[in-house]
Amino acid sequence: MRRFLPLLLLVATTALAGDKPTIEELLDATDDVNRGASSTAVMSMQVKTDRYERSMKMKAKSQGEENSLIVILEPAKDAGIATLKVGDNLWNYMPKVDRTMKIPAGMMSGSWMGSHLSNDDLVRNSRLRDDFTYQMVSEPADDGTGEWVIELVPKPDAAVVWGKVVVTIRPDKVPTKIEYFDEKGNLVRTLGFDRIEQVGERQVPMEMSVIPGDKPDEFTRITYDELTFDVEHDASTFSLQALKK
Amino acid sequence: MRTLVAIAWRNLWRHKRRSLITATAMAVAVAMCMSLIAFTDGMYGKMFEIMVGQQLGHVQVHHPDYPAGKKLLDTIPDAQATLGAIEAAPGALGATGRLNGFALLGGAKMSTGAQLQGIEPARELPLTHIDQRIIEGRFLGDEANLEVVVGVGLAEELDIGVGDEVVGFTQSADGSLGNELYTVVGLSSTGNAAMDKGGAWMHLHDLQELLVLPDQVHGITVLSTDPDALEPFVDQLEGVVPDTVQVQTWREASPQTAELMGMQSFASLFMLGIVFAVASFGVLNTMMMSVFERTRELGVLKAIGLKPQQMIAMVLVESIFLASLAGGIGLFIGGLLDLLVVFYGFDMSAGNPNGFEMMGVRLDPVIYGEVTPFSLFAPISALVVVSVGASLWPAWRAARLQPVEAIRTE
Amino acid sequence: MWRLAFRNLVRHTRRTLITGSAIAVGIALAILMWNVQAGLYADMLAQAISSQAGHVVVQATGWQAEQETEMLLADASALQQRLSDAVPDATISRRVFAGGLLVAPGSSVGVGLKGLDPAVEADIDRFDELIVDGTWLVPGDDRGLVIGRALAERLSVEVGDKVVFMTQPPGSDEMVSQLHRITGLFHTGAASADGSLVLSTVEAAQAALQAEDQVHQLALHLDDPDETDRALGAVAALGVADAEVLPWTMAVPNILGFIDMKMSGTHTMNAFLLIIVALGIANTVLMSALERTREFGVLLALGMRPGQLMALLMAEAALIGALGGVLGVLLGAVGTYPFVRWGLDYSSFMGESMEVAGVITSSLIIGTYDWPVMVLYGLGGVLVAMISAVYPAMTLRTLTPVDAMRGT
Repeated sequence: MRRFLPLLLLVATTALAGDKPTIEELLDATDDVNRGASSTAVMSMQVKTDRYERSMKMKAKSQGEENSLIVILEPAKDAGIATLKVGDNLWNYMPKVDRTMKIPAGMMSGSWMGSHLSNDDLVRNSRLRDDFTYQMVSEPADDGTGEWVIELVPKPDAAVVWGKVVVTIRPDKVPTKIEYFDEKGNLVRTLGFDRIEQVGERQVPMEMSVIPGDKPDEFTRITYDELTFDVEHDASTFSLQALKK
Repeated sequence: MRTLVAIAWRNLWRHKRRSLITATAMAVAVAMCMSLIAFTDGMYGKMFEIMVGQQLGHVQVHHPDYPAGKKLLDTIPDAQATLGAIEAAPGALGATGRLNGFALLGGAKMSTGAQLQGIEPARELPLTHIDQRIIEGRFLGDEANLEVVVGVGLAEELDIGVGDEVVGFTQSADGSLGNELYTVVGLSSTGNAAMDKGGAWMHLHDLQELLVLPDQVHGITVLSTDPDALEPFVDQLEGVVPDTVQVQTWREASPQTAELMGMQSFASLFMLGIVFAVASFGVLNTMMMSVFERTRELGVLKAIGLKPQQMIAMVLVESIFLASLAGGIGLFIGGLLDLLVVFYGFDMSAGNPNGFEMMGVRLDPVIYGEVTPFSLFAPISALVVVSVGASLWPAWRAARLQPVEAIRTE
Repeated sequence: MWRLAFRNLVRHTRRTLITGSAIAVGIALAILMWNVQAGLYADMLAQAISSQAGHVVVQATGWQAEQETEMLLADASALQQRLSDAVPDATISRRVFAGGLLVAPGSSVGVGLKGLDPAVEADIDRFDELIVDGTWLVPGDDRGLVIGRALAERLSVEVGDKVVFMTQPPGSDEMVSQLHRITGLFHTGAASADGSLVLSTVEAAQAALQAEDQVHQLALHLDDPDETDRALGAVAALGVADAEVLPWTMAVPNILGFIDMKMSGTHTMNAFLLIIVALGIANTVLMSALERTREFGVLLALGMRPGQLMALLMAEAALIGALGGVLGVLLGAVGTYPFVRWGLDYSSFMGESMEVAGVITSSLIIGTYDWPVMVLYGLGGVLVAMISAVYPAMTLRTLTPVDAMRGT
């Protein structure tokens, strides 16, 4: 769940027929659906903090979990500013000055585009299944109401700062909420998924929100205005030269 | 009484050589202390100047929460109006507003995080003279021209020099993404270690635009015409600034600096103590001798009616004369040394061509002395005290002489 | 002649004592000043050497100037063994440096990671004494991390909390994330260290940089700094490829310069002090010579040559000087004792430690017995006494027995 961006772009579940899925399958589905998948999207992001409220519109292209390119469309002041991710490297492009800057490791703590997500959220690598031990806390009832709630605790060796992660998944196997707790049990972050719709063959939440645990009035909300999967991208799309366009 | 004085004076000159030698010893002590204190005062004075003059100011005006959290939005609104009001207040030598921010700064090859400070050269330079700390290129112009002055350490890290471009990228106060291209016009070594290693200066208006904080500053540094009477000045300023804002003296703003300055006085006093402890032995020596060898003569004086108090007075007056003589010579030599230290400076660059760092302040390798009333008068006063003190015992001994035995002494 | 000189001194006990004690006090104070300063600067130097370098350091070529992360020494353990064989009495420490991000649940901060050998560094450095919460690194605990208290506050973490260190290994496109737990917090008083220095074991840093068995620096620490040249020679003889071998004088040159400068300042001041002493006793010496004119006349009449008389006077001076010198050294030693035992405590001004010329030293300044200098100053006493005696001795050259016995 560290890769918010690909997650954001392509969260879906496999449509399984019949049998109750195993936890592993659920987790994999939550984590990992975008392997090999590529997409194009137009998104709106709304950020509310105690200091300001902002709306942004962005166009995004992605290729699996490795490459992505996001360009701001609105507001006019920031239009054209882009973030390119290739593997674990991040660059920003600023059209006003026509310059590209690589984001050094030490600056990864900065917030991404003014939201509650940080630069390192985009590049951190960990897998729910591999890095956590998990147990099912509740399941949907046979009549289709209720939901799965899975509690995950990081394995002792995993490079994960959380103490506990709780995933809530709808009966149709679409995650609705992920809560992150630190080791002392404080809720640090809540990730919410809403407006699940069918896009192509998948069920995709069209709205994702990030809410800080200590300031529940603040949020970052990302909404898909358009979303297309399985798009062919040029080899040159995810390059610094392409950034400048 | 006048006779006593006359006798004391003549006693001194009867042993010209001895008096001169002792006087010289004390004169050297005085001169040495004068110049050493001038040197230490110069060094600490420089540190003080950098810490208080450049950074803290005599009085600081800021948002009450700003010092603790340094949050971008804890600003002083209506900066221009507030600055004007402060400058108009009686007792204000000058005021300058500063805005602080943090940004990703990138040269052609590398980028890294940097501290940015926005200032108005027109207001800042007359007060802090940081344009004199430019080591390459020049300082910012009076107008906002997208220029930056980069600390030497930062310039090295980014591998940039005068004439190069840097990109600044940051998150502005309204959440938008500030970015702009700037030209490096100078490299600086101001003595503020943090800025020299990782900071850059730009014009206030440029930074206000980058951060989207129009007409706002994080702190106003005020210099007063009378740094020793800051409390009434603070009261006055509180009347002219917006209510949301706090006014503090530099001691309130930075108690550690106040303590550091305390160390300076301690160092000077310590030195004075050591030097004069040594000198006092010389005086004691001489006065003892002077009394002992005149035992017979003193006995005679007593026999003809000189009272013990008068005897003591005589000895003390002698030593006061001696001290004055020594003081005069000492002041002269010390004065010459002071001139040397103040104008020529003391060059410590042998081991440290770049100067050295102490408590976050970078000092140049050549230290210029500073002469204060203390450095002139303290050694002299110490001299008088030591002379009189060292003569007390011999004087008392003299007073206690029994005339008959004294005269009988060989 | 010496016996005569000695007896003369004894005869004028009071004068001898006064003069001698004047010299003694001057020397004692000079020694005191020196010993306290020497203690401070010896400490600073030792700190600088041990934490930033070693008496001899072995680094990849160019490290001293550039300090780029990719400048690593390969096959570090084999190299360490060779070094250990070459200089058996040295303690060898390994250092690995990496810049990156330290991530906590609430926030993250850019930091500089220093990987070291906990047990070795505890011996040679003082960092383990600066721990204010928790404990020092435990050898073998690759997950442990020691950070500044200021940094912990900024990240809102405490001892025992999890943090993740992220960095980009040299030559790699990927970011590496590593789990750590906070073992302890330190406080040095130096803002840069407290806010961004993070300490781990060597192995942990190596793992983060994906640089197995590679280090940036192998530092040899000797018990006796004077052995540096010998050690340097032994290491240079090994002919390590692609490495630079430096003595500490080149590894931390700034500190040396700073200290030299301060120490010569102290010497200068002490020299002046002794001049004042010389002037102070000049009178006594002169007086005593004048007083004994008649005595000298008798000696001359008995056949002593003027030259011998001068020598006698100088001998007396030398003895007084020696007396003063010995007394002064003893007094100085006694005076130094409180500073050695309890030290000069600046901590109320500065906090536990302070940063001077880039080195973190303790605010408690402990004096030291710098015997070579103490003896030097003691001998200075002899010199002082003899200088004071020169002028009086000169006046004796032209003394004739008749004038002398007539008295002055």
